[in-house]
Amino acid sequence: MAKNTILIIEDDADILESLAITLERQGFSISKLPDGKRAAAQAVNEKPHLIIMDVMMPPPDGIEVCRALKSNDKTKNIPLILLSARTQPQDIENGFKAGADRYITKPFQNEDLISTVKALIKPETEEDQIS
Amino acid sequence: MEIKPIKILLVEDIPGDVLMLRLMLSDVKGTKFDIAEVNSPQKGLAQLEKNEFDAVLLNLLLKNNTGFESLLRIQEKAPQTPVIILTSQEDQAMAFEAVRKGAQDYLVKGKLDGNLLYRVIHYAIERHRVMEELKEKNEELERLNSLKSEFVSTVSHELRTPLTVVLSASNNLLDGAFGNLNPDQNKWVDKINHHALKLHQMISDILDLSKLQSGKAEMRRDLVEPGKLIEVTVANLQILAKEKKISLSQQLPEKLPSIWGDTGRLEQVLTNLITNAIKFTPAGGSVEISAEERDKHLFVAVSDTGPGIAPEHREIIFDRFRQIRSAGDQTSTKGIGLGLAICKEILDQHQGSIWVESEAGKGSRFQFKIPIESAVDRRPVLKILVVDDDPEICSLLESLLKGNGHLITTAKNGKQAIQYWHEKNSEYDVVFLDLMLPGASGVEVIKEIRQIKSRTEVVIITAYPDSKLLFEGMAYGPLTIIAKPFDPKNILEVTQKFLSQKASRGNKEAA
Repeated sequence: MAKNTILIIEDDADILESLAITLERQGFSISKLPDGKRAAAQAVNEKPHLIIMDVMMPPPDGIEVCRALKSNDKTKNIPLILLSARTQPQDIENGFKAGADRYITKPFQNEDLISTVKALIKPETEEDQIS
Repeated sequence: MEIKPIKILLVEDIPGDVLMLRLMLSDVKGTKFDIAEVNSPQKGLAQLEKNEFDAVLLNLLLKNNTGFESLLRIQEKAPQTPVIILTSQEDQAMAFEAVRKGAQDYLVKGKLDGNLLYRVIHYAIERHRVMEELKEKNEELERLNSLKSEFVSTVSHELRTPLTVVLSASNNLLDGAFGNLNPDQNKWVDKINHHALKLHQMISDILDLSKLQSGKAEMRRDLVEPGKLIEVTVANLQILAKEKKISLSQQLPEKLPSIWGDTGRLEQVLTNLITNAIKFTPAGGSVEISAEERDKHLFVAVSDTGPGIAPEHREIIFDRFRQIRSAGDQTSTKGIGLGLAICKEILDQHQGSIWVESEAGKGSRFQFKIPIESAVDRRPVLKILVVDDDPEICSLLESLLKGNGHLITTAKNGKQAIQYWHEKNSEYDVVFLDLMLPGASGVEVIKEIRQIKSRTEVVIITAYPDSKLLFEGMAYGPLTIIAKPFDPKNILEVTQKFLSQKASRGNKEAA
């Protein structure tokens, strides 16, 4: 069975790498981007099963890229998790308004992230959990 | 020694009065006055444009009468300059009103002498200077406070990023991503992970407390069933209690009243208190939550069999950044963090309070209470009676005040007003009243109102301040006077003021 792929977009290299290690150990195939500039193009090419993206990045930021991905027919059905150190209700609302499927605040526990990822990738076979 | 003259702008159109004031001021020993006189507010404003004055003496009843308007315009033009109203014996009501609108003082002509005049001017200048300084200081404080919140918010975001790496990497290590750890490695990476989580909790608490204290955290207004909330919270914390071998139970009456409040925030309070109790109670002890309705309040108590809290610590534990030693254990200190300070802020915003009773060695009992009726974000409204024979004024006031949610009744004459007053059991908070009324006069209406209830505010809206009528009305109690044609803003300001007075009265009565 082919591995499910996840595209991670994160400008902090350490978080990016650590996150990739976590998810690879869960059996996912990971591709990485250090900023949002080529995110849309790569998403169209690779058609990942899930996108995880940081919010606060040099322009275009995660909110902007999320909006672009969610308004493009080719990418709008890819589940998208926003990751952010901004934790206020207003920040989270902005994330959902931009079309994100989940908003995870930093720092997070690996197990919480993993269960969210699994819920989004296989919503039809597993119970749709909101964690 | 050269004494700097006091510069006065005199706005007065009666030449005799101007002369009298000049003479009186020239008699004052030890001080010189430099007086610029004008005979209209317009010319006064022009003077204020060009020169700085130490004080303005203003007659409100000039020939081309602009009344309070001129006062407001002068205050706008020169907020740093105190205004003293010149008035005659009969117009004192208007002078009172001018002082309410920001004039520093008033002088009654015909009752003046040089020393009184000097003293009033001198004090007005000093008072105004102090007020201005206070205003500046307040603005500065507000600015600093918002800077502080911004700082806390930025810093807490900045701290989260490195913490993300620490948590993520330590999780990966524990998970064996880089090979199996030996027991010592495992123990210490686990500690790194555990302390990073604690740090995370602290950062969140600091941000939360800062938000609560700056008033930026909005409380929701849900109808909360306290019994259910307690049961759910207790159930959520059973695992934690079991881990520490502590019995966690609740003792609730069959029926508890619902309250208005923020469910999430109240759960946060309960979770905090129960978690603290579990943390400080030794294994084998017990934590019990009880609740009751008493004196129009919901009381909730969290009691534990922990070491108790020394008397000198019972208040400071609700302060920020306090660490205490538990009574009976003088060697170790345990940080209690910001949890209790956050609880206190949340309860403050529910018009409630929190306190602790404790006996060293016998445990602590944290209690909080929340008023059952008054709740977060309660928007009280005023019951208002508008009395005016001009239907346009009635409907204008009605639509203006209704827009703000107040309950309005209108009456077109004095008789009707008195009738409504009695029908409604005199429960109006405010009466807007025209003094010149057909039927029963405005003064008669005031007399009727004052006979029954002293707290009703009476606002006179009048085009011609008839001092005789005003004085008659004032004999029954204080009046607020608004000149016709009125600025809707003034009406709303006045009602807003009454509203906050009513709200604070309500709180005091509830407390």
